[in-house]
Amino acid sequence: MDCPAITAEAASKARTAILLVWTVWLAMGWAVKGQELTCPAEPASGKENWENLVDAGRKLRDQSRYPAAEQCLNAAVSLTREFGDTDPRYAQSLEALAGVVQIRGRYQEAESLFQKGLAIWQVYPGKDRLDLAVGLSNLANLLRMEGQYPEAERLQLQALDIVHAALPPDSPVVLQTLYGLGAIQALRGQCAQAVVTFQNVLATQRKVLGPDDPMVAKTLSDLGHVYYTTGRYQEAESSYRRAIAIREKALGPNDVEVGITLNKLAALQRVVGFASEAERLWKRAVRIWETALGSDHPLLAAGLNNLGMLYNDQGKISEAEDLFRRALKIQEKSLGAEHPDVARVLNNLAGVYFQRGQYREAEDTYRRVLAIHEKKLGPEHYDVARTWNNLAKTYVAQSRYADAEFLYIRALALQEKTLGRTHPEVATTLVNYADLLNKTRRKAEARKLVSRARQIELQSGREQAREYTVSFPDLRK
Amino acid sequence: MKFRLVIRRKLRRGALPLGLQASGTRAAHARQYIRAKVQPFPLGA
Repeated sequence: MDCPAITAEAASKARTAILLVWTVWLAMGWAVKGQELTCPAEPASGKENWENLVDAGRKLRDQSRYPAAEQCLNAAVSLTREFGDTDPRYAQSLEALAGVVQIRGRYQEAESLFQKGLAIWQVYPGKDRLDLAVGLSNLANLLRMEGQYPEAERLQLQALDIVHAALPPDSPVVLQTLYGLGAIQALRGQCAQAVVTFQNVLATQRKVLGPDDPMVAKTLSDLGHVYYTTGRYQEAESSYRRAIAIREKALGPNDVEVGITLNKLAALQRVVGFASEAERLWKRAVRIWETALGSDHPLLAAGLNNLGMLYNDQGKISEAEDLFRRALKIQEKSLGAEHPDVARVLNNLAGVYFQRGQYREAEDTYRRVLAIHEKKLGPEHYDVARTWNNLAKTYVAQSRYADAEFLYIRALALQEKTLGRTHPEVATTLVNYADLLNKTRRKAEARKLVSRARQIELQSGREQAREYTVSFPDLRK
Repeated sequence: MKFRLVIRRKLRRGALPLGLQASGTRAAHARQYIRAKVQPFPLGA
């Protein structure tokens, strides 16, 4: 049997049909895409419209499209305000908006939005008071980022009481609240407690959420940071690398959270002596943050500070100073003058003064750093000890040996108490103290300290860090 | 002597050259090492 001949008319019909299907498919694609990526037009009123706006805002946030998300959630807030100042839907919109404003680095504005929402949850705490617990935990997380650790801890513990009473211990809400507590413990320098908290959270998250969930990566990243702080560099590195792999796979290679762990891994690489790898990682983190968050976000300030630190190590003092000042300028706007991170950048700037021989400027700046750290972190935090060590070095440079010795002894005692006797930071203070002892002709004592420092160095896996190591022939005498 | 003076001066200024190590016979005696510098703070890391 012959095939029917394809006439010109039939071919034309077929082409039209294909074109039609193609057009419909494209239109459907645009419609779906549009629904995912844009904020619905602001409706006059109504429950469904409000829910659409909040959903769209959250989706946009998850796609890292923060300005559009903010616009959408602002519309939701405007709409729900009409339901009354104490309506839970208003609280929900306020919290969603606060979350995006927080991501964009405008912490004070976010705090006021979270506070407004929380005031409503105090009146309508939700089933088993869980809405109130989530509100408390959200605010606690923000206060942690603002450097207000005691208040953050108080709220997080309050939230934890509520969720523990209402939910099983492996509920994601319980785990998230516990994670928040661990993060505060880490920042307050309570490293042993933080490790226990994070390890417990991690074990349960892996069981409940699976090993590749982004929440697992978040906990791994912060647990790695505590390992890094306590000198457990190998464990830190494997935690960071696992966290990066999970985040890259789940969120994409250019997500803000990927940048956060890259930044931590870079700091570790610097400490163990791989400066060029650290630079590569920091530059990648800065690129990610600048693209996703703009040029005035506190995370960008962190990246600039860290690159500055690296340049400082390499003796590029002017480049370093420029980056520290840029970081400070960004921080002034978003964090205020008394944030612990502002003090950290000031400390680094003081290091620039020190290296230029501007000891009075260095001393004044270190004193400012100490005042902030003692107020915000408490007098028992190891960061205070590091600043004592730096201030003491400035005194030595001015031949004020008695003042310096007093600070070295205090710094050593505090570091040994908070970080342990074999932490690399202790080695740094020991060798600086030895330098002072050597200058004041107590060479036998100096030799003992340097020998102890060397032992710590050898044990810490930091021997590759040759750039920090210099022979000290004077001690042979 | 000059080598030692350079180290002393750099130690005083807190700016240590990268990878500076004693070598040869000097290294045989210089079994002890020192890191003498002010410590910076990284952020978020």
